[in-house]
Amino acid sequence: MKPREYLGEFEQVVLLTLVRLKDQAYGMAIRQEIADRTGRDVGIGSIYSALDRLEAKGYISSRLADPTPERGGRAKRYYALERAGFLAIKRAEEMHARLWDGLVLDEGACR
Amino acid sequence: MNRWAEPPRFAEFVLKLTLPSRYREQQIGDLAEAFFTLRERSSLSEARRWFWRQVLKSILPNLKLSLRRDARPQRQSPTKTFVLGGALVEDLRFASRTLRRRPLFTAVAVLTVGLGIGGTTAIFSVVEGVLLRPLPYAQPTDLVTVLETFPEWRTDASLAQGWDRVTLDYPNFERWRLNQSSFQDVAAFGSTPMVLTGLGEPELIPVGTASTSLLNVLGVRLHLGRPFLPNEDGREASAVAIISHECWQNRFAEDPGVLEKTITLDGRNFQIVGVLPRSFYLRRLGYGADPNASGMPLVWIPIGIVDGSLRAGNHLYDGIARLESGVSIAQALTQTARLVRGDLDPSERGARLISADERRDMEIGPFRAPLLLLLGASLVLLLIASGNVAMLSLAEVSGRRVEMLTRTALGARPSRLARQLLTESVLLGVLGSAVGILLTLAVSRLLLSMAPPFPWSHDVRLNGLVLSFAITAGVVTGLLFGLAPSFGLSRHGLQERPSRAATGTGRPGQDRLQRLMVSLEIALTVVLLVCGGLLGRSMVSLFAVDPGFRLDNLAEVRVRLSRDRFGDAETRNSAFLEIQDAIAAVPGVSRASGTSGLPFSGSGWMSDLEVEGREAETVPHAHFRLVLPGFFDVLGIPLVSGRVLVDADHSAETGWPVVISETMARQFWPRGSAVGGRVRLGDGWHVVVGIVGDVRHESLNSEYLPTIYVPVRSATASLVVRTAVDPQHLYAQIREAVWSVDPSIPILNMRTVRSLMSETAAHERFRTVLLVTFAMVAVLLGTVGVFGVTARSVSRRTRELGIRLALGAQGARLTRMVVRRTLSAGIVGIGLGLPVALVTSTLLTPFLFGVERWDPLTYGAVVLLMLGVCWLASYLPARRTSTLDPAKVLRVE
Repeated sequence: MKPREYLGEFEQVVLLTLVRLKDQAYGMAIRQEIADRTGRDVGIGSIYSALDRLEAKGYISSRLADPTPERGGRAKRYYALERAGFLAIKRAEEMHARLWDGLVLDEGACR
Repeated sequence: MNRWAEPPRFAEFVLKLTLPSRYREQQIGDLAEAFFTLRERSSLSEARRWFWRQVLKSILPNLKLSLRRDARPQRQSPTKTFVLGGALVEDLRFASRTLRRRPLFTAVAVLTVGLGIGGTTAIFSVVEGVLLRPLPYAQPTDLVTVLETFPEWRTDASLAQGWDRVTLDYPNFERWRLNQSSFQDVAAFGSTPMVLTGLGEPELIPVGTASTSLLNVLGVRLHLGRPFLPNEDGREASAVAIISHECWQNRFAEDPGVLEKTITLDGRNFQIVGVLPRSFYLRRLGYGADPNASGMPLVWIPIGIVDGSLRAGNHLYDGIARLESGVSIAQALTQTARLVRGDLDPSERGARLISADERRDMEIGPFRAPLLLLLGASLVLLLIASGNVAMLSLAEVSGRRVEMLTRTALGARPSRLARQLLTESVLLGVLGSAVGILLTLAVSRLLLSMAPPFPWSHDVRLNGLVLSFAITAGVVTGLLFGLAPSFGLSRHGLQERPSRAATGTGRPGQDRLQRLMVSLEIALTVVLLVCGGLLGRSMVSLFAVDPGFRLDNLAEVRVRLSRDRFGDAETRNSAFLEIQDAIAAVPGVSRASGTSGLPFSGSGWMSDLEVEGREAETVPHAHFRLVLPGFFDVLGIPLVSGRVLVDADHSAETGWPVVISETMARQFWPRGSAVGGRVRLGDGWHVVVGIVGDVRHESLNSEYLPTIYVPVRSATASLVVRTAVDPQHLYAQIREAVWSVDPSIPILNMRTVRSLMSETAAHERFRTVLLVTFAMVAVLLGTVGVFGVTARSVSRRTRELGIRLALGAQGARLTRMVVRRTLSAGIVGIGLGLPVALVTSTLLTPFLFGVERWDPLTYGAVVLLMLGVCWLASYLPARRTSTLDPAKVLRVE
């Protein structure tokens, strides 16, 4: 892993959702959770695109689960956070904290 | 409604197409799961809508995902490989045999596709040469253009546009060259018009002036000869020249001995030392509409030869430099800004660095959209052409029903037959490519010679990329028009009895497919027609604009009074005025005058001035036009108030008055009249004695410029002649008149002002002509398509129609019935095309002038035209039905 790689905003959203869903994190559940929490109606393709990118970076891993009837007999892919992903999201959190440190954002901040 | 309804099948299919195999199962499964949940919770239709929205949203990310997957090494071992085995070769051999057996069909199909591919490829070859070709310099990413910035210009509306793109003067360049350390090497170049003599008629050509380091900085290797030597520029510049490839080709017939020769510019001989490669391209950024002065240089000479080229304050040069490795643009900028404008207060110093790619973007910026538009239009044309071929092959296949059924009976599977048909049509497509490439070879030369000059078009040719584009287009087209018949075959082909197939009665399925294709074709034609119509209409309204003076029988004459012959200014001026008088005395010439900035000629300049009693934050600027006596009379510019300039004004040594344009009066004297007001023009105060009408200067769609007319009695850029007859008939006499003053004076230009004006709209006209041509070809193809479909449907239904006639139906009614079927398909097409055209026309908005993109007249005309075309193309073949002899028809059975 490269030492200084920053997470994109959507990547952060996906990773945090992954953490929240624990062992229930698969495509549609992630999509639903993001929609519920952020109000963003994301296409399933974008979710998989982000997951694929994160997996390629080694931030997350995935495993196939057995097919279930309510999915028309198709398999599910569950995702889990890896150590690198944990560090990356931690780093993002610290960066946010430093950026916000000591700031009070009120109406006076804008013109 | 079915409680167990499944997710929409077609949406699933689309999703499958875009997904990489790794995620296919899971993503479809995910969507299915959510679909079922949603169906339970709300409704089936809601679930379906949601499913579709998800699929549409996911297409792009999924395609990206597929590309990413393919680029990465696959972990799974490939399970299936496509075998390019004997079957394909066999198919190909069989395909070529069947095509040869039907020469007429093959010829028509190949020519139609070839026409479409030829047009598309010709446009693509230009797109490739202008937009896609890598820059012709070594490591172009290290190259930067260096210009000065004039921050003080930012506050002035008329100057702000160019404040950060000011060319360098020589002293600034020298200081930068000697002290900089951010670049491996730096160079400067400019261009200036010079008279070329000794090679045919004297001609004003753009000549590049370059520091001797230029070719080294660009990393360009000469085609012939040597670059400039380090000591050949500057104060002791040598008279050596490097000529462009074009110059070598057109003026020296590619003579390999050209390095022994000299070239004469402004009466001075230059030793030719080198020939540039064909790919070489470099010209000044932006300035000047006059290609004689600012086009791509035909000849390059060292800086320092031309008078004034080394003087401070003469900002003539683009700096160009190659970055030292490891130096960032930002670092280079800091140092350059300090050096380039060392004469200024540090706070005002500034430089602008432009990367080589950015530079090209600045040059081709205005041409990108029109080029892509034309490419799009040509692709639509190709689509229409392939639609025609699809209909044709559909008919062919129905003619080959017996063959197909026989093969099926002998054990061929439908998929095998479909593949055979596809192979045939791809072969046709590739043959079409070949015809298209030949067509491109013929057309693209013509296209470029018709096109007005535009940047980076110097080396457009048919290279590997263009060829592979043409071939790909052929294959894709072949697949496209092959799909219809093979689809038709697998759907309907095999449930029929051979006897019925042989007699060929009407079959609704194929008929519907054909009419659907007619509709689509007509729709596309409507789109092209509307676009062509809108552009045509804006051309008409552009040329209807009043230029502010009388264009008829007005001509420009440009002469060049060289310094070596007419030494000082006084001799030059008196010779010039003598020429003016001589021209005015030619029978047929009513009056002659002269100006420094004739409208549409691309010359003229702008400068600052002071307006008495006006207090404003910004320095006022106006366009200056020096005029000889009689200027307003010759051009027919109307007087608005006050008086025009009289002879005494032109003769006055000091304190002469000026005349200004209406726009200038309005801008600088918003209250009260400008007449009697005073302006300061550097040398002193001058009274405004009159206001004249505004004149379009740059082009018919340009803004009015605040203009000030200054009376002079000296040599100006052009002479302008008002004649009683078409000026072209007087050119010989005018030439004689000029040469009666001195037979050695080169006459650079003699053109009607109308043709000058029309040149300012050359690009608009060219793209309009092309698009209208495309639209016309589309109408032609559409007509052929409709005609063909109707004719075939009549001949297929001959038996049915014969029976109807025998049973007492009237011929005319049968004709109407047949016409109605195709006409309705046409009407559906028109209805389909109109909204698409309305959406497409938003792309045209930047090119429209004086016409709205929803212009009802254009749309109305297109609808009427297409209705007429559809009716005619279906009526002509349908008329045959009324002349059928039922007895004969039935006897055939």
